[in-house]
Amino acid sequence: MADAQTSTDTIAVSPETRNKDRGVVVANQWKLMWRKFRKHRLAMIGGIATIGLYLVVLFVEFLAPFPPDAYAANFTYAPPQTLHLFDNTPEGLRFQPYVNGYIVEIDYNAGRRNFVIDPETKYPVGFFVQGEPYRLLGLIEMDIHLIGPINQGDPMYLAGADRLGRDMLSRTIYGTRVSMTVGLIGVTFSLFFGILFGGISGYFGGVTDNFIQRMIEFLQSIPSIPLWIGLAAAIPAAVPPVQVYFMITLILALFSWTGLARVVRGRFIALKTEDFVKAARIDGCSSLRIIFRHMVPSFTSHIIAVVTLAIPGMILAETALSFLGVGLRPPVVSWGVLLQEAQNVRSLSQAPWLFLPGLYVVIAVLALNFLGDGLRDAADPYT
Amino acid sequence: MSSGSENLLDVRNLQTHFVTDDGVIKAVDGVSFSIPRGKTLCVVGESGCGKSITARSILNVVDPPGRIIGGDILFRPEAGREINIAKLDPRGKDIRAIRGKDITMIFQEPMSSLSALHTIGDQITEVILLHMHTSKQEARQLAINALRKVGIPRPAEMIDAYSFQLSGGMRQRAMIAMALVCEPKLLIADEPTTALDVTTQANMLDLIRDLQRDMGMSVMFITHDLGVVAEIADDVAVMYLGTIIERGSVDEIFTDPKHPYTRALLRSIPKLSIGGIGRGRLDAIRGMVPHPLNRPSGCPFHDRCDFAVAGICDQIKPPIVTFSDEHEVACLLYDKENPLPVNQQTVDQEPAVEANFRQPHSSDEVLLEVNDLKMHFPITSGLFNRVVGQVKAVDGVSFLVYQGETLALVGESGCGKTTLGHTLLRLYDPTAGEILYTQENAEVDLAKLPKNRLKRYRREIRMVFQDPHASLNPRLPVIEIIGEPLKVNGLAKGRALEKRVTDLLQKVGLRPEYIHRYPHAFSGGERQRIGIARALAPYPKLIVADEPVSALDVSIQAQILNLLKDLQAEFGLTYLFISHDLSVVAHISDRVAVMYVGKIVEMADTSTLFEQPHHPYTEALLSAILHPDPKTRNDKNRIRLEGDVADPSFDHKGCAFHPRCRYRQEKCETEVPALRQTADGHFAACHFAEELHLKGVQTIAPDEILTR
Amino acid sequence: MALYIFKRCLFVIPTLIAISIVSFAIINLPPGDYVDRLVAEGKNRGENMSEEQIAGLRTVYGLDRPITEQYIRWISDIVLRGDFGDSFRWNLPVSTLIGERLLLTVALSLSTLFFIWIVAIPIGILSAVKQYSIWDYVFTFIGFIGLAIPNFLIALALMYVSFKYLGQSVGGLFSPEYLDAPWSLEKVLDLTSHIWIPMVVLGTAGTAALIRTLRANMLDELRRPYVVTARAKGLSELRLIIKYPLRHALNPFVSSLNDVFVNLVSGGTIVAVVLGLQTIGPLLLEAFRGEDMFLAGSAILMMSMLAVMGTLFSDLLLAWLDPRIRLR
Repeated sequence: MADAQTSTDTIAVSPETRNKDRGVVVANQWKLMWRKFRKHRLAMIGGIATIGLYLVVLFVEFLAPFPPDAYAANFTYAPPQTLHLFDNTPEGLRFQPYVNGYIVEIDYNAGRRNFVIDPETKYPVGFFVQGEPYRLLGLIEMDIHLIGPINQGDPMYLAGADRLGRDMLSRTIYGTRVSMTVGLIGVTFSLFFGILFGGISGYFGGVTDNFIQRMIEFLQSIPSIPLWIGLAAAIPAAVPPVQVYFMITLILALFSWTGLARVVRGRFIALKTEDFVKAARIDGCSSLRIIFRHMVPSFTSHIIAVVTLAIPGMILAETALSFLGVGLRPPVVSWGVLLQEAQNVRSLSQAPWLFLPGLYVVIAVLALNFLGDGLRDAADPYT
Repeated sequence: MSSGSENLLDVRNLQTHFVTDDGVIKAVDGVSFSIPRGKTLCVVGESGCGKSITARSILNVVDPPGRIIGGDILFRPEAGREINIAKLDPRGKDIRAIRGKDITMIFQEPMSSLSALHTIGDQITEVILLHMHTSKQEARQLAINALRKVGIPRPAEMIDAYSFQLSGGMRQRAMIAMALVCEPKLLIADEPTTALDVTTQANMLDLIRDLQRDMGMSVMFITHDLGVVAEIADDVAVMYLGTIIERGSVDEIFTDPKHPYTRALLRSIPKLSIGGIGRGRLDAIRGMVPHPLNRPSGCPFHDRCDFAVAGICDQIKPPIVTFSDEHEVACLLYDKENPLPVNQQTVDQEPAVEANFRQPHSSDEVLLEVNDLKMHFPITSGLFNRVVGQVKAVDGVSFLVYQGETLALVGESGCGKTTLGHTLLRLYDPTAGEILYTQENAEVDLAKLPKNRLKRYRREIRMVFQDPHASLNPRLPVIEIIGEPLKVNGLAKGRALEKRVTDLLQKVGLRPEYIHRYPHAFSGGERQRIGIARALAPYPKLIVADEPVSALDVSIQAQILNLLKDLQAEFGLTYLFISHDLSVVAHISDRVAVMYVGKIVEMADTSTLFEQPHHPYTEALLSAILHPDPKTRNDKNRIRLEGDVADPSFDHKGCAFHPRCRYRQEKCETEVPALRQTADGHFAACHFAEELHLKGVQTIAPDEILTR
Repeated sequence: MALYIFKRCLFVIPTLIAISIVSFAIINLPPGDYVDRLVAEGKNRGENMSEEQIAGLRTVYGLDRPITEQYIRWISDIVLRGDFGDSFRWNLPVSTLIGERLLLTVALSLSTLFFIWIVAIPIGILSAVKQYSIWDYVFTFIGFIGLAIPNFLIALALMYVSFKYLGQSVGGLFSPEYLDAPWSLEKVLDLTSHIWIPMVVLGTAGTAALIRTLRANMLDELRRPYVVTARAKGLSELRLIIKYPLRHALNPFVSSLNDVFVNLVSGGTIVAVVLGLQTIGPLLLEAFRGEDMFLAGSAILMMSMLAVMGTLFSDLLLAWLDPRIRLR
């Protein structure tokens, strides 16, 4: 009798679900998030730009025309050249990229050399040309570069040269690798600390929680940059650059895990009292199963968003420290290290293209912020 | 329809729409009604029917993207003056002069409707200063008077209190004071008692009714509760999907409902009746209110209507049929020009009710024995989280649950009933006491069982939660949710699991194809069915149902109650049914235990408890029940409880109920009454249980229900 | 309320102790001490110091004592005598070096804070109330850019522009003639005419962040039921927004104030270096480069104390604003 009754009074295909797109009803959280994320146009642009920047990180050697430390004393502060794609050849206008050479004028009053573009000299430029050999991704031996002078040794400064006549474009591209990974590795460190302490705090509660919370409050109440300067200054000069790199990221992470820890703890505590988590306990799930099957999937998306939003802070901090001369040290090339060259107003006024790495910083930070904002908005597709 | 000219308010063909990315939601779609001076109009309907938006449209305070796009709201503050509110600039001076002065509003959630950062006094005097030419001093005095009038004790002090310092009932009183201080012509009350306990609700309705009589104002009362309607309305408008489908005087609506929806709604609520307590099925309305974006064509109700005729009801918009001066129905059944091919006989005939008056199911076999169970939570304070006190949520509770019965736990919010349920399932570790569970003739004490040995009992004792949205993990599909207890307990996997989940879905009335859907694809009622299926999955014996229907609409509530009964009969389940709603409890339970501040104060089988209560608190609770019958209103003998539920962190010297008890004597203040047997199978914790002659429920004979 | 203030102030004490320990630990982190550096410098000049001389120097500077004793001496001198020690490098008491710079740091941080408020509050309200309007988009965009450009880059760009097109340097907080002059009304006026550039530079990121916070808060609050209540009372839109949602939105705003303040103190360091301001920041950098330990330690201590005081102030302000904190 139960069946008869229930079948008539309750089989309820809600029109709501009937009319909806068939996909939605069986869409898991990632699909729903993707649907929501897609609508956020700026976030999509930010996402694409971010992917682009990390692709640059992978293929730096291929993308940069020259090694970062290739110098040419003759071309101190040489201005950027325009890349001409077509040339008037005897056979007519042809695709034949070239750049113009320079004429050096010596300004005796100011006591410096001025470069003027010489429209007469043309240096042929090619795509996928041979250049300095390198190992792609550290594995494949290659000597092909995306762009470069066809005759090795011809000057090509698409984004100008610095004090030692090094190609700013190549250096900025190399800087991308360091600066973008500092963010990523630093965030990995702080994610580790954040999940560890936030998880401990949220799971155990009580005195432990209280202690960790006080510690976090303390760390958040002291100004980070003076402390970074202090800690970074403590790294001995003799330490090899790679170790400096890791120490700096560790120092940066030392102060940025607190925000993450708070997010993790907050989510943990909120979820512990959710009905569906109680239901899982009643279902007989073990603590591990509850945490990893029922709780963690509910906050991974939030964590990803918070992490994304933490990367730009890391990049900015590294840039600032290196800019002050207490962060990464040459020969390591990062955007901050490059901007150090721009500290002097005189050299800046002579070579404004030294700002180029700054532009990259802004682009990277914007892209990651947009992406992170979109991820955060999409993180909970159920509200 | 009364000729409009002397009505205070005439609403004609009001349309309020929301333009969203997904389409236009016609929240209010051509609504017309009138409110005569000094009368109360109740607008009743299920959630999402547009009753709140209708109320807000009258003051034109609908939140964007909502907008009044058509119709007239004719308001006549005095004879001879008529203002069309719908045509006023929603931000202009003219409408602002009406808001807060001539027409005022109170809302469901006094906590969030009052600003927590401003004192009560600040928010009340603000209205006075806006609309009356008084000094700040006078305004403050007026505010104090208003607070006194609504029954707030020590108004001169309370005026400087913040809303979070008041109890729920007091907050709502402050809200009412704010609404009435300028002596409005019309008070719009949007579900003002829904968030309150039953005893507080009764007081609040009294207050509104008394103030209305004194001030001679009109009231527009929005509610989903037909009991409230019967109690307070002069006229009733029944809304469904943004339209009014029937309106008339309260007597006509309750004694002679015409629209199939009104009838079904009235039948679907559980009623207290002598022969019918706890028995019988409810007549549920099938299906659910569709999403407003998917409004059916023709009559909005046709796809749930038992009398719908294909090709007519789904095509033609029903005309308004007038029965008497004030009784109007929008239904094609009564259309004189195009009568439906159904004879009036079928309409009047109620659908056959299955004669399912089963006998009390309880056996003598004890399934669960709870002895002196205590669950205390420490209160910590200060920098180092010192324990400064204990919240005694459950404080020494003992009872038996018999195999196959339904034992209900009732009480107002904060009485500890939910904590008790959670403690039985060992979601908390009890402070003291025993939970003896009988399994294959052997008893185990679940209270002291180590966590790792609980698993096999968690299979047999299951839970259904109150909130169908929070209790299902949104990130898992139905098969994983229902299958989880099977998987974890090693009961089934792979194909067998899928088969079992499919069967369960069918058992709870859902389509087996839904197995791979995620919870977000289901409505509240459907989700609750999934929750029930999950509870059923590992072949349980006892199900603790924590307010399983209180988050649902009336029509859905009946479906779920029926389902629970059917499943009990089919699988021989035992229920511990936790609820605050006495009508529901009367309908479903064999025995009832009443809780107050962490203790059971009375326990008996359902009809005994309802007819002859032995505890004054039970008496008061029963007296506060609002019957869906206008004849029972204005009961002079109704007991009104003053004050608030006692603080569970306080050490009570005597009976915890004594400050509110009208029978209290000296002994009650000093001695804690024990729960003792006062009659056969009847337990009460009152010193004077035998001497008091307490009044049971106002019972209605079954044949009186829906008499025409 | 009094109890809350008392408790909150009490909490500052362990924080300050912790800060002093951290400061001291950091200045002792670099390998070698000031004497090692002197020895190395001496070597460069061709002077070789004897072991006794070195030991003697260590005794003079107190560097031969165990580290805990050094800390206790350092901190008790500060607390009991207000003696921050001497700068090895400048041979001057640290307090003399830091005193005026501390004052200027406070002045700069506070004026920047007010600048941020004055700009961010109206824009935040406008963006929220007129959501999705052209103004909302414009300010949101500007806000994003403001957040993304490191403030030292803005400082650099500003200097570049003024050098290139105006032919003058914009650095510093004073005109050269007032740099070493004693304090006078003219010097203060000179300060006010210079302070706005670092103020704007330093305030950009904070302004952008606060606009976003306030906008989000306001959007949340505008949908709350108490707004409908207030509207149903007949309040005009402007009065309503100022009295209710803005008031509610300001609470999280105030509680985020301490972050803003900490960031100002922190970020000010770099801007000050670029713009050559007479604040603590550049001194700190110098001190670390020269291993001038008492100076560096005191500078860190001072900046952290400034931040702690800012946090304390914002917490007390919040308690004053929010009865839920005050009365519970």
